Amino acid sequence: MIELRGLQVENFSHPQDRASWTVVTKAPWLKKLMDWMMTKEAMYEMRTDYLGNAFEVRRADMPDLFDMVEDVCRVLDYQTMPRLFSRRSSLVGALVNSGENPILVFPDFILNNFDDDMLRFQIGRTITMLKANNAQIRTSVDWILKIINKIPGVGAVAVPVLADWVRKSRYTEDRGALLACQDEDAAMKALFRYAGLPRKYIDPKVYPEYISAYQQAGKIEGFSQSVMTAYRTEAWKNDRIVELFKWYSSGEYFDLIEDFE
Amino acid sequence: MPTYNRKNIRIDPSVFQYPADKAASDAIHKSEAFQKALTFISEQSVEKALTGLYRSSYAEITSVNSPKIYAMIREAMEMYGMDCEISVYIQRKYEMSALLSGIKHPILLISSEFLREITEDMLWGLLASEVAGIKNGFGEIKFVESLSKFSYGLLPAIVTEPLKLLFNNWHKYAEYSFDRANLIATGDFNTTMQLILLGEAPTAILRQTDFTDPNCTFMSQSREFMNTEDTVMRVIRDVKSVTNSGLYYASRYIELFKFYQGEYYELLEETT
Repeated sequence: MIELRGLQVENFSHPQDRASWTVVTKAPWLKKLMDWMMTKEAMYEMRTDYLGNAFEVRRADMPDLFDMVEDVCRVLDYQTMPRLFSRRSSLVGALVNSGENPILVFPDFILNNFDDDMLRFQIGRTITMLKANNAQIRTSVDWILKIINKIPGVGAVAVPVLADWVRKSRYTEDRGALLACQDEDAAMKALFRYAGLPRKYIDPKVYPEYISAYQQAGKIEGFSQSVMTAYRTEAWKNDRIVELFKWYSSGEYFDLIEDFE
Repeated sequence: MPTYNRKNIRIDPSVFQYPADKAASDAIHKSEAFQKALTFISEQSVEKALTGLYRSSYAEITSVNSPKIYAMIREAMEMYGMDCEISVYIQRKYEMSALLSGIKHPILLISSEFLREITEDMLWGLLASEVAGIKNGFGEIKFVESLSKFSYGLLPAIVTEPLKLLFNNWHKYAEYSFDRANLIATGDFNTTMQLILLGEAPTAILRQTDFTDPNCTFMSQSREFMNTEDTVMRVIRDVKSVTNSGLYYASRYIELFKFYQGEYYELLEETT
């Protein structure tokens, strides 16, 4: 595994993520509000929940998981080792809570059902969230969405702007996750699994055909897309597959890795 | 220290009911609205309708299809001095849950995942604690609560919110009583804690944790949660404790640990 010493999120961030963030920062009040919330440690809500309701795992409990998280931190050049928790959940993604002491929470479903390479992809995604400060920003966004959604007019304008950034930031996180596992097949396997494909049907040979079919027929565009995605904070799962596939197929990913070799 | 033998234990669960649960439960039972609701349910045969609903929707445990579970229920009824029939149903569900409801004919609905992942000792503890709950009148409260939820969308918040708080308050403390009944039934603190935390961490980790050790990792996590000096965290924790019906695992663990170190052995001595 190539250690990406000196890696910056800007080295691999998705252009749509950057463009969307620029729109967010164009509303100075919104940016100010988010900055203020982050100083107020708005993250505490979920941390309280994890500490009271999840199970903190120690190195002695799960040495393999600790080694994996440490290794991902090393590869992505992220300095702080998070506290690790597990909890009962059928979610297929690890949760992350930022602040001074970051926390990763692993649903038992992924601990029991994911292969090591898929787990590494998931860990890579959460460490990218921490490295990019997305975890902290997103928690603030969640709070803001809760509040401004209740203000007629303001919510209608601001929510789509924030929701768009949340969706696009996923593309960057997926790229970071691929850099963490450095295995395109594992990354695609994790994303296909996330999209719902059962493990036994996941086959790297079908990726290009599936993606091309989706791009031609499945993608929602135009007015329908605007209406259906405006208030949605979760990126379309198939879009994530396509965006990551495009990144490594274009050679950009391999060029980046080469720069660190 | 008395020797544990579950066959010899006969105890009324109200004896070890968590005091705040007893107070909250008594307050609900004594309220006029609650009594009116019970009368309405009885007169309109609402319970009969619900039983029919469960019977049509879920698989019922019988002495034929699950003799072991059936026998455990009978044994728990004997332990906690219960004499009315209890119907147990299995619901297909990933989340682990056990739902208790009913007045004359209590019903217990267990999620299928419980049966898949649970050990025999843990299942015994779960069933026995639910039987203790029925004996303490929890089925009635749960039944009326579930019916009152239909009114939440129809009545103004000024009426429904205090009602929710009343039930939430009881729910929380009732969990402590369930945990105590579970411990008395299993006679093993670690088994009870493994059931409480089942699924939250991989089973192997739960099994290798000694929850009776005041220095175990989950105790330090729970203490950090309960004794935090961080004001923001305290406020969130306390507000959520009032508004939520569930309890934090950390507080359940600490309360049960206190019981285990104090009253538990005295009770065991008196009842065996």
